[in-house]
Amino acid sequence: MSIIELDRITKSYGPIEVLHGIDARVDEGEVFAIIGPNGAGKTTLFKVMTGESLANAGTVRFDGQDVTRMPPHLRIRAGMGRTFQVARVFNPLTALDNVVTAIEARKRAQGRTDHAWWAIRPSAPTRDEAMGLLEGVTLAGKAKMQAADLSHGDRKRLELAVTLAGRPRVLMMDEPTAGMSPVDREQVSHLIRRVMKPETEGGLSAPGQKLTVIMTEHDMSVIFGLASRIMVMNQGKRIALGPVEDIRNDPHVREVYLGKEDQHEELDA
Amino acid sequence: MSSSLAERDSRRKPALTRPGINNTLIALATLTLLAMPFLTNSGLLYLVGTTLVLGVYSVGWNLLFSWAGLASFGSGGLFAIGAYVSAAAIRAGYDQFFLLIVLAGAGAGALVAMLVGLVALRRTTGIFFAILTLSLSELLRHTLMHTRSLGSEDGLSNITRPVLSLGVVEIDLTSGPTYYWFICVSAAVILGLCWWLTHGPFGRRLLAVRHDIERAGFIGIDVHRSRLAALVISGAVAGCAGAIYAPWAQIVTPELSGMVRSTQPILFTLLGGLQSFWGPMIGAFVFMVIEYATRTLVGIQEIITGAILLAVILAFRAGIAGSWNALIDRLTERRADK
Repeated sequence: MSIIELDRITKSYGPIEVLHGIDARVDEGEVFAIIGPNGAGKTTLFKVMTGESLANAGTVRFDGQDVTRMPPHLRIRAGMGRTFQVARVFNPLTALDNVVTAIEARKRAQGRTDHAWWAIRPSAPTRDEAMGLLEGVTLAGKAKMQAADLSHGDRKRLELAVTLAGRPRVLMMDEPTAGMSPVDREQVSHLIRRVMKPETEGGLSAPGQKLTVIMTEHDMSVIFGLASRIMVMNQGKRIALGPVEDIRNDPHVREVYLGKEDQHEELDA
Repeated sequence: MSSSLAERDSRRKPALTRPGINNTLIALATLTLLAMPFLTNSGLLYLVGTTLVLGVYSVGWNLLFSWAGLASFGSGGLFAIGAYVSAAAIRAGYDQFFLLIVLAGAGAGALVAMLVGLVALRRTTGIFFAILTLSLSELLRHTLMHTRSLGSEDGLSNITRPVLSLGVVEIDLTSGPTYYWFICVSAAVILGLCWWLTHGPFGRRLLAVRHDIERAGFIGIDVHRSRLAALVISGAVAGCAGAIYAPWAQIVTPELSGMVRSTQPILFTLLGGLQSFWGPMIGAFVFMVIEYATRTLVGIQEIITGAILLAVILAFRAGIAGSWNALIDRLTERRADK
């Protein structure tokens, strides 16, 4: 079953059309990767899905519901979660309070606020859940640290915990390994794999949750290691969409990447 | 836990902690303020009472600035609305209901802030919001200056201090010291409410919005509603402070809605400490001391005040509160290391 359906999405900034009628369906439970050269329109398509940008034409459906014009915070409440290319966490708060605030926002939106109206501290369940998420991303030891003082990699991990705190059904990750060392990249890949697994099997997904991941990524080894299907974009158009193996052998895709030797090699990797 | 670990833990924990030291200071300051009527003459008492009211008003402004990230340059307008509501109601002879009048002042400030917010917040932030609020408070000042029933340019004077009637008990606030204590109690209540709001879930939500409004939306926070709520609360505090101020000064003029009143909280906050709850209150009192100490230096008072402000703000970027906390942290850490 498709959880996200994109129907002829067109987007222009002024006279420049950056997306030309993109169609795609993302199935529940898969890792769906969007790749393409710089300026292909990946990030714009991402923003159209999350609501940061509105499409000029076409429709975005989330779980069957038309969300084309819905503002981001309502899409989040409906079950989307998003991380950014450069991790965005709340600097004035501690790592723990970052996650606590996200959990409280989720509970509030669901009308399930569980702290007394006069309470200053988060409720015990909220605190436990937050600590659990921090442990999951190996940040429990830094719970009391100010987010502003965390390293680049830790901020990425914290952002993932903050996003998972919203219990998303679709996790949208824009370049999750951008600017990271190979070791950190491997850790993030490992973390995403854990995110997909339920808690009962040592993963991070809440019980009964079937998570879908949509990601853009430059690093082909990360993509090939994680994705179930890949969509290739070039100059605002979809040029291929299919399982990893098909994409690797697609002559058209190879042509787009031809001339960029390093990426060509990566396709063969 | 082994005994050596426990031993090390107890040694690590400094005997004096920052919250401990600061709470002691707050308690001492509170006692000093309460004892003021016995320590000073009526002139100084008036100055201290006024500073306390302005400090509360500035804490309310800073709730909007340091927590929600909105810089209002028109808070004087909301202060003036509270003051005029209070002055008009007392002159109309409703002074026995003074507590209700104060609440009405807070309500009027909150209502006007909400109307401004509903129109302004969706479209404007940053400098546009600052200029818009400045223009609106100037508009209010001019309207007050040309409203004859509110005393035009002279404002409303001869505002008597009320005798509170609480059913069976009557509390006489007509004398300076008793009204001063009334200010102290109201300040404690308002500050307590503000502290509670800024340190709980609402405060965390606002800090998230201030730091990254888009990201805050992406954890499902309704950023527009959160900022509107902060604006309304800040308006209520300004209106409430204005309503308490009117019988203390016994005169209200359109100048309350002017630039000077609107920029006061900004100055106090810069001086006392951004992103600090007590910063604006500390700033208000330091400012008062500077002004009082230079009161005889007619003509150069503003220059000296300005120079001191500039020096403090340049030397202590985090303001007095921030620098103080950093100092205490360093000292207690050093003790713990020994």
